[in-house]
Amino acid sequence: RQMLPRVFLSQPLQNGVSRYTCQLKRITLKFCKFRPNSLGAREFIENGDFLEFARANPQVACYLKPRRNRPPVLQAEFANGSVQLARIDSFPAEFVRRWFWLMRGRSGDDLLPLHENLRSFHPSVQGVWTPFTFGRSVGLGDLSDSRHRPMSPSATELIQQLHRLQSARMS
Amino acid sequence: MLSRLSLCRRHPLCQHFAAVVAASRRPVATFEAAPVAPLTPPRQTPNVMHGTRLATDPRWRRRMREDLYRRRMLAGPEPERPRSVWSNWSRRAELSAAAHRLGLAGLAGFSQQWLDRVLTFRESAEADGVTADSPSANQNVSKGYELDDESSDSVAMATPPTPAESMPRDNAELVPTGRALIAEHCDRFLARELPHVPEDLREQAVSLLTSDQSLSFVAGHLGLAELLSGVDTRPSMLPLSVEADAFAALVASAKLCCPDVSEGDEAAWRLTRDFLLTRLHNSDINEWWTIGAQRRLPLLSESLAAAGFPADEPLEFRLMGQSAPESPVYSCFQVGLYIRREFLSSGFGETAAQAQDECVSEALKTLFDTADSRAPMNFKLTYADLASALE
Repeated sequence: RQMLPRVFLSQPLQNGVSRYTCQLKRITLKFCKFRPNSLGAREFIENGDFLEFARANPQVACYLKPRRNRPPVLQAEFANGSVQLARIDSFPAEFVRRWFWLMRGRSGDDLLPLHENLRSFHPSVQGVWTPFTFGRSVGLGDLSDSRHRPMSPSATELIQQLHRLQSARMS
Repeated sequence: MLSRLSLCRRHPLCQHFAAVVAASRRPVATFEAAPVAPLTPPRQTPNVMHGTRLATDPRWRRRMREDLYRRRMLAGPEPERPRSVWSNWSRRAELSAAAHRLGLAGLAGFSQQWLDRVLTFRESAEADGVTADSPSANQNVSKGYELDDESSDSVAMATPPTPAESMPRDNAELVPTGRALIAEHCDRFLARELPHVPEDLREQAVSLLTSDQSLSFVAGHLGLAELLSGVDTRPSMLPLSVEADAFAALVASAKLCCPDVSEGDEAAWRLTRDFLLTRLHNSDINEWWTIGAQRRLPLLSESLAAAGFPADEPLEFRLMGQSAPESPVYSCFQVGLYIRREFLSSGFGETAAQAQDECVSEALKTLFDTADSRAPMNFKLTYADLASALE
């Protein structure tokens, strides 16, 4: 069973940090002039919605491509080089219009599940925790019931041994 | 016993059918260019059975589908073609869209013809004009019908086009101007945002930012690669330097096309700032330069001297903490750097030596103000702010 890879949130060319650029470069509406599954596409063109989209988005090059005996398709090409195809077979005109405006807002990145809905390159403000953050000098081998004992005794242990020997001698 | 499929393939009716299909196949968009060596099919048939079995198909159609798939894979990949050969391409529309996308459509003196010339590279010295065989010939031919919608054009570019005499034929003069302008912008920005970083490290960062690879990455993501004329725009044939030159020419053109000097400076600066310098955002600035192992301690001494500590003050490295020192896996050493009995930085490592190296790096970051905790860079700077900060 194949699983989709997970990706992190990102924007091409850090879009939006200082200026927003529409990532849609060109959009092509391929439709048939006769077949009924292109009816929605034809109505979309005839109602003037296509021209309205083209005029409202001068940064997008809009093309119409009539193709005989083929189902209608919306081909959107983005600035990062990706091409997305939306099959608008038998869609009503309103749905075609919504697909147009949806492509306008996309960045062209693949639609893949995210690791997280947010991403920060500086996740820690106070510094990442370390065993010594709060002034501890306790390590793995320092606890009495730890399985990870160092080979040689520490200075504290040496002094404790000396104390035990001394008190044994004294008593 | 011969299989049914092999019998079918050799059947004259089947072969006739294949010939009919081949003859009626619609010609795909072709691109006549310098002959490229044809791709040879792999020696062994790759395992192409994946995804070819459709349970709802009858057996004969399944096998035909598998056979067609195998033949298509053996035929090799599609030939590489520039975007302009397909019918849904209009250079006029693409240039107009690019001008709006780059925010240049509102500039006084900017027109579609100007953008066309900015993205035109001079062809080889022998060819004095655009011949029928040259790669750019295909681009200038518009296929299909163009909607001659005057209203959208007049809204988009209100100013009339500049006269043909003053417009350059190609971008040969714009490229070096643009490259110098971009380098200047990057240097000024980094000098303003990272004032404590020494010049040699800043120069390393600027050279990385203005390298061919970096500029071509930006140009590709702005969609300039497809709009170039005078060069072969197929991705495998387009060198990085050409794409980089296209972006440089664009920046230079934004400055030069405006009659008002300040508006031109601002427009060119915004292109560099918004597309090139934002690459520094969400990246560790310390990765943009490398400090050699031998250079670290001398650089630290120099930086401390620049920060006001006298040169003869000794640097003390003290072991601040350790955990499981004998263990090869869990060992953790913390070393701190003290100067004049004041804490400067600390570092961690698997060995004390590694911790000390890390400590020096952290000290340098503190002195240069390039630590994680520094304020983010200001990408809303205007050209006036940039120029005034250095005076």
